[in-house]
Amino acid sequence: MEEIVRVNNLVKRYKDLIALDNFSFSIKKGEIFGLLGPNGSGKSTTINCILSLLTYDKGEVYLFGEKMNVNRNDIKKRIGLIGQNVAVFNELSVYENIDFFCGLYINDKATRRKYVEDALEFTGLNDYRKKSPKKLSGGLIRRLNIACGIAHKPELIIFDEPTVAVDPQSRNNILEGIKDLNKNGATVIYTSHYMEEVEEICSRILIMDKGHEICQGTADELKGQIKNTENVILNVKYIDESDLEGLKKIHHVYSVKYADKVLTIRFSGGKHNISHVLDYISEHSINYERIYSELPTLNDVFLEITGKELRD
Amino acid sequence: MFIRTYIAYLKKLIRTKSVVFWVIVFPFALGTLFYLAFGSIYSSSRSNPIEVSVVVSDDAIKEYKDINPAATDKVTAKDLPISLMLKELKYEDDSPMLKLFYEDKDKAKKNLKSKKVKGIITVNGINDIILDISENGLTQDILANIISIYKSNTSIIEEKITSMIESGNLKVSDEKNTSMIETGNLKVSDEKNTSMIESGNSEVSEEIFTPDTEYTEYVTNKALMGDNNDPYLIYFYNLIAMVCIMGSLSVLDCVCSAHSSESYEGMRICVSPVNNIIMNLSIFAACLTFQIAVTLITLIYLIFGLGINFGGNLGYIFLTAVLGTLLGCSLGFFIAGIHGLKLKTRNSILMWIMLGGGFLSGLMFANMKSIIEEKMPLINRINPSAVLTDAFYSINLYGIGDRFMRAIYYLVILTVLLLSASIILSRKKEGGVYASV
Repeated sequence: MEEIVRVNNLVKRYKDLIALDNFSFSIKKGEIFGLLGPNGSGKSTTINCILSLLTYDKGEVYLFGEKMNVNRNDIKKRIGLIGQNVAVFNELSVYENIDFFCGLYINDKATRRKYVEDALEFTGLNDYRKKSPKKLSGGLIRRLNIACGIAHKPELIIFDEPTVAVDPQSRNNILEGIKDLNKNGATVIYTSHYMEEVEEICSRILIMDKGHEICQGTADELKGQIKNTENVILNVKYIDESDLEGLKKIHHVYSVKYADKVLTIRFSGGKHNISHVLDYISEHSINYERIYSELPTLNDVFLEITGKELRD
Repeated sequence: MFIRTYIAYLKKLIRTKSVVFWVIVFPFALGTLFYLAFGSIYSSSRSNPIEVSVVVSDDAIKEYKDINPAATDKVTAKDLPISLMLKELKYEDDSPMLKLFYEDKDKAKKNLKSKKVKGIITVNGINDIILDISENGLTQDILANIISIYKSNTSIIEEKITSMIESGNLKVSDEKNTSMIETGNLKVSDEKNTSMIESGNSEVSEEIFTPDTEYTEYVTNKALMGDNNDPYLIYFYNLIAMVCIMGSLSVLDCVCSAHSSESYEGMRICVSPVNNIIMNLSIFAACLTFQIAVTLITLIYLIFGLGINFGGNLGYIFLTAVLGTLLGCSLGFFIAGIHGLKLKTRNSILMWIMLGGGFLSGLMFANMKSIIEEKMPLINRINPSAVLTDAFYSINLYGIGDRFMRAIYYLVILTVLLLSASIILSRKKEGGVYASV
């Protein structure tokens, strides 16, 4: 399949700090590629280097098979950017904003008008076309931000943490919109530090930290790389050290952690281990408020590889 | 793309309330305040003479006697050219502009201290004239202008005559006369020549000096105020100049808003396939249009709203204001084009240029421009405020003539230089400026 993005050995330094350290990856046409990492891991730096907003010290960026640089307007025409911050003019109306940003790519008036209407339709902003962005709710303004980035129908769309500080309903709308854009043929790069989102929409995920690749693959492939198979979590007000030691002796348990009144027991073999835990706590009369089991997440992948949580 | 960006930014400017306030309401308020403040001065002091002490040293009288063959032993301080000029200065209604007190240095200082006089004019030589004032004010500015113009006119005539002597167009009868002419202390032999000097402002026509002329007398500079002899107008001209230069702020802000390092909208613009020069020029054009409208509205308000009489040179005032706005906007465009600076730094640079330049050009202290012209004339050629105020001063003080055209010429040259530099700087794309971890 056609390679849309190829990044080779990218190195970016900010004085003494190495933001990207020989970072490489590639994205194929039609993928939703998730770039996952904690804050400061180098996700935005990677995006800025790809877009030539930032110079880099070493390495190469190829987009659509062509080497990207700041003057490659032919490549830029095929890209759309939706950043984590809303990039619209408050003094222009919803329609005027979409028309202005679409006009940076599309010169033909009739085509542009159609594209703007399509973008309004896609983001559900038809009823707000004459409104000032200042009068839109947080969710609507995020939709406008997306409309401005996709109105010119780009082949590669980069979403750089588009759901930061967004309410759950708007977040779901954004994620559904991204899936629709992908269905319509766009290749998507999606950066986030929210593992659930990445897991939900991305066909392939690269986890990075400190400018390095930690691992990459589909969500299942990544989870398959670690020994964690199940987590049992209990809300417990108090637990003895002896009980913590006792829980560790349950078959397949490889980690027991108690913090903030939450007891997390990690299993490395099989599923449905919750019954073993229930047996132990009833035998030892441990009081708990809630108990539940969950399959490993990308956070567990990150934790197991780096020793720290994605949310840290 | 040019027109779309132009329209979008024009809408953005018009709809930004803070911009509209600062560029329209503020000059209107300041103009009204000037009008209210000077309105009473107009009616009370316009026909009242300004009291001035004149201290003439013996050396000055001796120098005058030495170089003037017609001078007798009876020559007094009041017979010196500067004294004659001061005496001849008149308001429009022919009442004298100055009330002169010839006295010794100590008494003059005492009078200045007790505010009986507004200033002391000390004459140490034919061209060595010093003005002392105890405080800043409108009358003090007028005195400073009078002395400045007198000095400037004398040196221009001196230069002209020296060059004519060198080219053989002016005959002088003996050494004494030559020395007299060189010092600018001339006698006019007939009425025609006198009137030509009077009407020619600082520009002395060659026709004055026919080959037969032996003596020329510099008597008076009645045409001090050009076509319009209202000294208070300088303050309104300064206001217009300020509005013109203020255009640089909106250009700086708007052009920088299209930089990826300064705004998220700029980041979006920078990842699009736009030509940087076209984008920047269209933003510049939108700001220029807006600022020209603001300048013209301010002028119209001053003329028709407040009834300020700018004399018969309205067309030239409008022309100068438009060119001045172009210069102001070009300055902002240039600062915005310098790479690797943050918006705060750019704003600081611009504020320094505006305030520092304004100070050096005499927006705050009228005599400053003359001091700079004397000590470091290059600064007056490259300082946008000085170039612009010089054009307005030329209209006010000398009317429309070579001096005004020279000022306009400098204005256009500086504008072209700034614009060219800005366009060259705009050619470089912005990659590498945006920095974020």
